[in-house]
Amino acid sequence: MTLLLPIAIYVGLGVSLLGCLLRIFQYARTPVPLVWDLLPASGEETDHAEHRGSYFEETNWSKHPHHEHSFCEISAMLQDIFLLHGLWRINRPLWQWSFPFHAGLYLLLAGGSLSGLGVLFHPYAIAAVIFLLARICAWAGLWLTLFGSIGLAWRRITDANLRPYTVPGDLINLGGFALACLLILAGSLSRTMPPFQETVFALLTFQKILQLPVLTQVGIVIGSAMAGYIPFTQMAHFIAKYITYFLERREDAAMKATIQAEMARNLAYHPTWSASHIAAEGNKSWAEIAISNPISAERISK
Amino acid sequence: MKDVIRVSDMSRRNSDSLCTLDEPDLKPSPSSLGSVKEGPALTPLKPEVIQCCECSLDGTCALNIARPKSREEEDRLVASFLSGLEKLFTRENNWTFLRFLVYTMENCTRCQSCSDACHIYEASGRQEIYRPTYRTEVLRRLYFKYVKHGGLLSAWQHGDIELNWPLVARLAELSYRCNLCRRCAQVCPIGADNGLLAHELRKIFSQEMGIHPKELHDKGTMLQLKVGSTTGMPAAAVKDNVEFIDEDMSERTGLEVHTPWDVEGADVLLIHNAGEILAWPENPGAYAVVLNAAGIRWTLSSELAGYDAVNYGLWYDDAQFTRVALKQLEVARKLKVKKIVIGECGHAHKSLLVNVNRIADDELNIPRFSSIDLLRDIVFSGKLKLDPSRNNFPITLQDPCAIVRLMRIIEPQREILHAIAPRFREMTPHGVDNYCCGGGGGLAILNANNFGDWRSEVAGRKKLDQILNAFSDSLGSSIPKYVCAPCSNCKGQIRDLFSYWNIWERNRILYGGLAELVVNAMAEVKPGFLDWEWR
Ligand code: SF4
Ligand code: SF4
Repeated sequence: MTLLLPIAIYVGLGVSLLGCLLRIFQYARTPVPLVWDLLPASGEETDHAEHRGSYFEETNWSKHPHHEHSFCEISAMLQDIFLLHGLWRINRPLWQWSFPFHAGLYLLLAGGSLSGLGVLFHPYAIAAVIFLLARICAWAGLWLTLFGSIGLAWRRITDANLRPYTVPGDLINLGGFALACLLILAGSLSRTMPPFQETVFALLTFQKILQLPVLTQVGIVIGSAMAGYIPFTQMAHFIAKYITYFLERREDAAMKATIQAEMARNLAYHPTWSASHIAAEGNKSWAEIAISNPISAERISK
Repeated sequence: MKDVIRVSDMSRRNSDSLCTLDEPDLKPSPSSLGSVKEGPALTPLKPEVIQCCECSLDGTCALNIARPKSREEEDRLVASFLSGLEKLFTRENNWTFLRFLVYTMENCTRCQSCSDACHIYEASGRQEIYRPTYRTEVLRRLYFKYVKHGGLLSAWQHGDIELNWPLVARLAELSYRCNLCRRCAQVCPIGADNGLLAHELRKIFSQEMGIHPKELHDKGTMLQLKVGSTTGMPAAAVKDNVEFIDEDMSERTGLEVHTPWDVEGADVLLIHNAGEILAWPENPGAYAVVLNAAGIRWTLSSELAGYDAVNYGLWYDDAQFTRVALKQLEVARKLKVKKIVIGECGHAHKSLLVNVNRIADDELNIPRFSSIDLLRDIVFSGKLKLDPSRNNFPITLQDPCAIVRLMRIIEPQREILHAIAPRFREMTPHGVDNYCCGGGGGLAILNANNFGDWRSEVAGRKKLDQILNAFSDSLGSSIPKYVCAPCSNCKGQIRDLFSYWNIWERNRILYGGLAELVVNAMAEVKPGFLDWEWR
């Protein structure tokens, strides 16, 4: 084995991490928007009130602090992340492929993290247990991802609703995952595959002595490339969803000072919209436009 | 026959409609309405309209965009669209919604799970152009190509599209084939929002190109900023009309009804959708009766925009939205009222209780709440003696999307109805899962050409189905029935829908607000307050 494999793995993970951070940064630095509604993220089960009502049902809601992120909400969010509960509710045929695909990726992530942990703890007896768990996760993850990605690709090609909105990139993304899993699994099933613990140890600690089946090596390179590529595609919706969810769920009353400061910054922007009724004229701020009257240029006295 | 339409067809260079709406292709109309029409669902557009306006989407035309006279003019318009598109993705121009916009652009997985949530898509017989993701997909491809300047790799990853004038003209119309009800957003597993996308598209057309339906702009926000109300009524006319309503209410209820104006320091400033005063005067009249009977110190305002809670800017233009909303708050500040209560108008609820929140400073951030909450408090305060047997007819409840799905004011209206309407029954589905009436997002007031047909045939079809199903045990003309719609736009749409389908004659179903039912149940009011006349 050359050093290519460990390098591919670390570069893939590094780029992935960097990509995720960039995404988080990109969303976090978008200006604080107007409130568009209470729950921009799909949050059906997140309301604690049984009938799913909000604090707007009270005449004096503005006087009462209303809490956010209760246990129920967080539990609903976790169900959404790990069980894809939202999709299960509304699109069961897709869920049956999407769930294994996502569960597979989560398990691969868990397997990878456990492997790293196993390497750290390798002098201790506990390492054997950690590696066993890592192995179970990795195997289950590979099979589920393979199964899920093939199923999703199949649906994209055959479902009349999905086909017109499927672009080559979708199929290549899913194909990339399927191919990586398939190759790793195929190689791993061969007799020349070294034991799991040795393999992981060698891969994560840059050891050259180990010989891996060629199929597995190619699979690892493709898998690493896919890991690095995810954050730059719509597959990164998992980051966006929860960033936006949390950014938007913040309570205006609790964040009053921050929001006011951010709004002041927003209102100081100079828009360049060209329609005559906006009367932006290139030199007016949003605040000035908001208090101008396009009919009479009259100002609202403040 | 339904045409097969792809995203790339938006750029098709001929003036034929992308799709035709034939009655047999639409979702079957409720069986109780008898035999189905054959042939085109909409009255054909007039030849002169087709000749001079861009009507190449679906056989109707809401905007009447004039056809460019030359290729140069087309190119200028396309350049203007492109410039608007670029601005839409900058913080200087669109800090208001940039975050949600980018989120939906970049993260939608095109899983189509949202499609069946859309009543327009379903009612049209699943016409591709009405799929919630169709217009979004067009915008997404334009975004990656022209805003992100993606090359071949991007086209491969996100899909390609040709930007030309036919596409721009169709996209403008298509942005007004969405009720902004956001039922699709509610079911999206990742929280992407195709309703928002329609809203953002409308902004490019309005804020950059000056293209908007005249009902929303010239006769809407501009008129409101000029004379004080989208109805065109100046303050003196409103006062006259309300005086007349007071007299009528006094006569019908047997109580002395008086509406106070411009009371400084009042506990409550009530702002109605001024359309109520002209179209459904019994609603503001009923509020006057209830508030007086409950002993509340309330007032109306006769200041510019202070007597009209309407804010059409919410649907198409951020600058107009902000101008109107700030004026309304300013009126309350000047009057030094303690609270603002929004009358039975869905979009006004959302604009004044939600959207304006972050831009109103401390002085303008006067406590505000829903008239539905206030009615609930009054009904359960014991201040009114109520006789539910007076409302002993089948009643169902329309859930306005803005109030129910988006703001989640769900129970107060139900608590009231359970208390005063023994034969109240829900539509299926209801609450946050309700369907839009078909008039949301400003569509209820758009009437150019045959657009009214489209609203009744397509946008309102699902609602009609729901209403008739809710009354399935009492259809026919012998039993009067009531759709309680606590929203002016819903009422406008239901009125048009019922007229189009002859519902009053066939089934004696009336529609109206919530406060009217409360007054109808008040023991001290002369019996028979509700007027079972079609209006
Ligand atoms: S908006 Fe949501 S539900 Fe609709 S296609 Fe996109 S990801 Fe799927
Ligand atoms: S917002 Fe409503 S009308 Fe518009 S696409 Fe979504 S579901 Fe359909």
